[in-house]
Amino acid sequence: MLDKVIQFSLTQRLFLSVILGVFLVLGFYAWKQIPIDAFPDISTTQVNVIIKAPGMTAEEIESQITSVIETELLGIPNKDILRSTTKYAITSITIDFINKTDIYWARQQVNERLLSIWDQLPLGIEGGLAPMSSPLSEMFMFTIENPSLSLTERKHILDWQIRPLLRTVAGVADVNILGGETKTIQFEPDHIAMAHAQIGIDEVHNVIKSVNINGSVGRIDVGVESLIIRTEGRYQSIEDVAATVIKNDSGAIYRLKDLGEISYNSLVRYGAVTKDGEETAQALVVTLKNANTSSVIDAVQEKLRQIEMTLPEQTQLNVFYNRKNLIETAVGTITNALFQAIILVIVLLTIFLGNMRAALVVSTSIPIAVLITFFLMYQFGLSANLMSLGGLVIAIGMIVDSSVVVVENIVSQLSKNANLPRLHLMYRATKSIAAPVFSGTIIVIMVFVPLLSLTGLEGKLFSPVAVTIVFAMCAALVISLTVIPVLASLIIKNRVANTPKYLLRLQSSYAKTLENTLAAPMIPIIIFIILLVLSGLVYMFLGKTFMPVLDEGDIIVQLEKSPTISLEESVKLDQQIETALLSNVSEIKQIVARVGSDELGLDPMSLNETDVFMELRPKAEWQVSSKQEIEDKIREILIQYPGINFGFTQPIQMRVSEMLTGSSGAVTAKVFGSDVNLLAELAQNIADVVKITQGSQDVQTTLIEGGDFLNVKLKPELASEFNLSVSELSHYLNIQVNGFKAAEVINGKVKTPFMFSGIAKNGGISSIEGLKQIPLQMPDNTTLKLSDVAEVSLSQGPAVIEREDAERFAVVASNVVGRDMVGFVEELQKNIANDVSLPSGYYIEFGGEFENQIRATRNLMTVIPLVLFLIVLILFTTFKSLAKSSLIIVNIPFALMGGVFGLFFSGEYVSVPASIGFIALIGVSVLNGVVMLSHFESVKYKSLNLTRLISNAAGDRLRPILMTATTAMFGLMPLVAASGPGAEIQKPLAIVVIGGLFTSTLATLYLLPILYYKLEGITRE
Amino acid sequence: MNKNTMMLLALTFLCLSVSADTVIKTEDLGQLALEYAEISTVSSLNLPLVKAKISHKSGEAFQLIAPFKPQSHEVLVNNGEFVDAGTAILKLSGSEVHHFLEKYDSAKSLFSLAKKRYDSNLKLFNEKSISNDKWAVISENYFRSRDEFGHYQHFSELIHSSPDVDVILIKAPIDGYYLNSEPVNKLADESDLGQILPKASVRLRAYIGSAEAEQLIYFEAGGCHIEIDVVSQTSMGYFQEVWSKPLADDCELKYGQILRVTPYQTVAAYQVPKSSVLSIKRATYILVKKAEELIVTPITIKGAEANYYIVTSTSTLDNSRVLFTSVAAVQGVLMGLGGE
Repeated sequence: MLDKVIQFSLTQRLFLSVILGVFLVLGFYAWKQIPIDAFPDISTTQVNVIIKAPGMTAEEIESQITSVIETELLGIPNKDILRSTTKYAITSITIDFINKTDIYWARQQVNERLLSIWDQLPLGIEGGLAPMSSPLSEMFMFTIENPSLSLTERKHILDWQIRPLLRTVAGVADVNILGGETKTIQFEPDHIAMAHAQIGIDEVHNVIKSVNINGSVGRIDVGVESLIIRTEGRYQSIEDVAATVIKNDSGAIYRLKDLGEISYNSLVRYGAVTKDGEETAQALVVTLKNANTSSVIDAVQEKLRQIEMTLPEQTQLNVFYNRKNLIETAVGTITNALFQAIILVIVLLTIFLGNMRAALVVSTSIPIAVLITFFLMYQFGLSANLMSLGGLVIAIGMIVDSSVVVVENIVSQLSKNANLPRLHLMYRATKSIAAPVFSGTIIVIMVFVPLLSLTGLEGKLFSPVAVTIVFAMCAALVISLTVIPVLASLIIKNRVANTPKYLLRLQSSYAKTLENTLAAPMIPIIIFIILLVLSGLVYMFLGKTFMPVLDEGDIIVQLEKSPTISLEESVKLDQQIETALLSNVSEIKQIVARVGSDELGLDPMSLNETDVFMELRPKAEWQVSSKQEIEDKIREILIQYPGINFGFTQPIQMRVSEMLTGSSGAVTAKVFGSDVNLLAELAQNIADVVKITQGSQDVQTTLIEGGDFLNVKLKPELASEFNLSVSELSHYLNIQVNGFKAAEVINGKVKTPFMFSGIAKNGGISSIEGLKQIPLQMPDNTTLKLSDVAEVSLSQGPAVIEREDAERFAVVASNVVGRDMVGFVEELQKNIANDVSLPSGYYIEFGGEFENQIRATRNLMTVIPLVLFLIVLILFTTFKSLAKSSLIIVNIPFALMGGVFGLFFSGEYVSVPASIGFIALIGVSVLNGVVMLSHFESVKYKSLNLTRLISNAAGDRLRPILMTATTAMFGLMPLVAASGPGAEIQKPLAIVVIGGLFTSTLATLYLLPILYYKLEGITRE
Repeated sequence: MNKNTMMLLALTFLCLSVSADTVIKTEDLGQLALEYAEISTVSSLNLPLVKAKISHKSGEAFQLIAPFKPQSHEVLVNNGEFVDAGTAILKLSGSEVHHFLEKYDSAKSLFSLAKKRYDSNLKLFNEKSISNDKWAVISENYFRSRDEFGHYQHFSELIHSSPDVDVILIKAPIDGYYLNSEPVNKLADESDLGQILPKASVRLRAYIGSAEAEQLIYFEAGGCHIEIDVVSQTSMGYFQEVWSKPLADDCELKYGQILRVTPYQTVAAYQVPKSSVLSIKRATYILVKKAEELIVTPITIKGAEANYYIVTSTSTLDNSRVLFTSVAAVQGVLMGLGGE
């Protein structure tokens, strides 16, 4: 089969060239078209339901909304996990579906169920399915700046000028508006006037509903024309609203303006945005899941350029987050590494082959393989991102291996100057090494294929790496057996230069040292074993983490203040901190802080929570050398503001963390149960235990307690006297405290809410006494105070209720320092079992990053034996001997040893990418072993003594082994040297492979011959 | 202040529920902006707006009653207009007016005769020259005619003379506001022609919740300070009727006007900025500055006005200063928040 392919290639060179040209064009096209992103899509199929229930407490929402919806959604097919977070006035319910579930199907399922129970939910709620985005969809953010515009005007522009236009951009799921004030037309009922006119608020509302409509009547024919008739009543302006006739009492006309005050006002705010200490409004562009982020951002920016020209003078759209910057930086880092790797590999090939033409032929395989890989990525829907491009960089050193072997053999065949036709020589040279090339490449592919079985975040991150490497290796294999012989036939001359002198000297020195080693094999064996044991000890002390943190460039500081803080005070504290940071940390270009909930409710933060987004200046302008030092400077400032918790994160990191666990922290202990107070108490007890467990740091407990509520309980015997029901009272108070949307005034595309509200004057009710004194217009139009008909009492309730699969839980999160996470959790489990007694029905689950690491370890522990089994299978098929296969397998620990030392000396942690590096190392080290051992086997029947036979054979293989090892190592060097954002994730992988290849090459060059010598010696005896 | 100290402080605070004053050193509050406001004392506390009416107590108005039913009844001044005594305010016309004048004249003549007879016979009666029965008849006749005449005479004192026998003009008996009455023929043989309300009788009437009524000291309406006169000692359901003292001249309020007024209660309290108040575990506190320390002082909010709360405290807060910035952060400190 392989022979036929090679023969066809060499005989149909023109046809092959055409096919190659087509693939190159397609590859180039794919490179231009392929979606570019920072990360692969790591989100699960997730559907988010957001319901806003103005004025309702967390407990009320939980019982009346969250649990109703959850019960309905629990039975949904393909559901993986159901989580919810309920806070004051909002609930966010998230359903994770099992992998590969179609997002449209999932949304349809959720929507159908939601609609079926909507009628059971309380009146006045708003919301539904959140836009079809992923946690990484927040890709473009900007504020609107113009000192002459008020907050209301800024939001108005965002709401009605910018948002509708940006939503027309393909790929934009929604535009989330944060901060600012929403303009309303407000009617503040004058209870005295209303009572005097004998008009109730419901009567007013009913009149407004019946008036504020345009009705369709029909058509009449007038002459030859048909005229449409309609009735017109819709409000167009505040004057229309004010002039509404509410009652005509025998000629005494009561208009709305007679019954209260009508004015422009703004909606009650649930969040705010500050920029550099001044309040403003911001827009956040959310992309659709699976959209091409780069092209969407380009289109958004183009649209904004058009919009900006239509905005009021001096208005600027201040972009403070553009995901494309990160994409360009990260992809740029990787692309640079890719080009550097290509150049390094070509230089190495030239040095090793000592022949520019041969080096050129081999080097050609790189761009061809890369372009074909892009073509395959495009066809299989892979985006170009940190991981997939990283995979390509890793593959560069291995791509050339098969071509090196082919070209080297062609060169040696040609140098023998056999009296055969040139093409035939080429054919014979290629055909003779086709099988080992094929099996060697298959071994490498086999190593990476099991990585596709990884699940969770590590699976989503590293599958693209594995797939890209597999694509690249497949392309390299095909190229080496088809294109390379053809190119060699066209480029390489019959007479070629001999082996470079330095290589001959190297071979000679190597043969001598090997002979000496074979003469006294125990010394090197002992050295290898000592190093191996040492590496085992070093491994024990290596830091372990799930995933290195990607430097996204920007910094987010999350602030947590007193749970009952008001929005105004929360903003004031944010402003203090922003001002301090800007004046003390010169590296910060601008700060945009967001407190409370956004308009869509995609991230329902409480009023005490702030995300302080810091855009940093270009690195050249920094006074410090690293981002860590900037964080230290920020930390120094923040510590000066006691009473406020803070934590560092980054835009994507924050969202990924929330997506995966709903909470951040290396280890989280979730205690499940029904009673919130008991959960809070248990969480506190657990937190105390966590604090005394060795290795814990930054122990935090969710503030589920701390919500103060005023309970208004109707006095039933008095209320019945006036026919006042709880719902009427609730409705009335809602108007007084929060406002009630009675209608909309539509003017063109602008819709202005028309609110009944009692908060226009004096800023509303600001004390319990004030609430008690609130005048109530009773159904019989008498006026009483609230305290006359209801008891008002202060009580405490949960500020936030979190649930997982419909069960309440409280979380204690902790980071772990100075010890391994698994050991920490085991000790913690023991301590909790001893010190915390759980009532019946309460239980604890451990999670967090630890959960990811456990899962990743479990997956890797499944993958590695599988990889080893496949390798043994291939080796056994190749050598037909288990003993000889074992000689190569023995090489593996010595390869891993180098990886461990690499991590130790570089200060990197053992992480998922490092583990992937170890797996890759297995493949490459085995490949070298195969190259060496197969040659021993091919020459073993020569009539030479065993020592000379082995040293000669090993010397023969020195060049290919050094070539494959060094090309792989130098191919990865740019990744190690890279410092820009994006390099962090691939760096541990590269370090492991480089370190491992170093020791693996030594083991292949010295240990393997020793072991073969011993084995063959026994066989010969 | 390190994290452990803060935790300890928080635990102490929460455990003791601030039964004793908790103290925070200002130096432990780092770079938080700390601004202080003077605590001022207040003696009154405003309640929510209530409906009130400019009115008068029953019986304080001069009632104008005509002893007949005129065919025509023309009011010569505006309803509610202030009139001086003697000002013509009504014009009555018609045959009944004529009849009235005739009746007045005849009553006057009859009374004159009866009086003359009475006076002349009084001496005889004293000398026992006439019998008791005779004297009784004379006396009865005299007193009846005097009553009848008096009845007409009181009304006739209000009348301006007119050449037309069918028309009379009624003049205001006193200074005051003329108040229309309707309908005219409400009484059987008489006519209610309205009222003249003396200026000193114009007051503000409101209905105030029983719990607050006794402590009321004044009303404020449109810049007009109106002292409380009397609080009714009977309850009307949830309310008590409250009357103000007569309205001052500079209060531009019209009789009959319904308006919203702010009632003020007497209270011995302090005024603190709203942003100075924090609450923990259902209790409310302010942070009072003493030297370089903040004393966490419990308070009770009594009411609010604009940007201030009216509060009472078991501690004396006279001449003290209270923290009104970064209070929520200090609250966080007390709750054990802070740090990374």
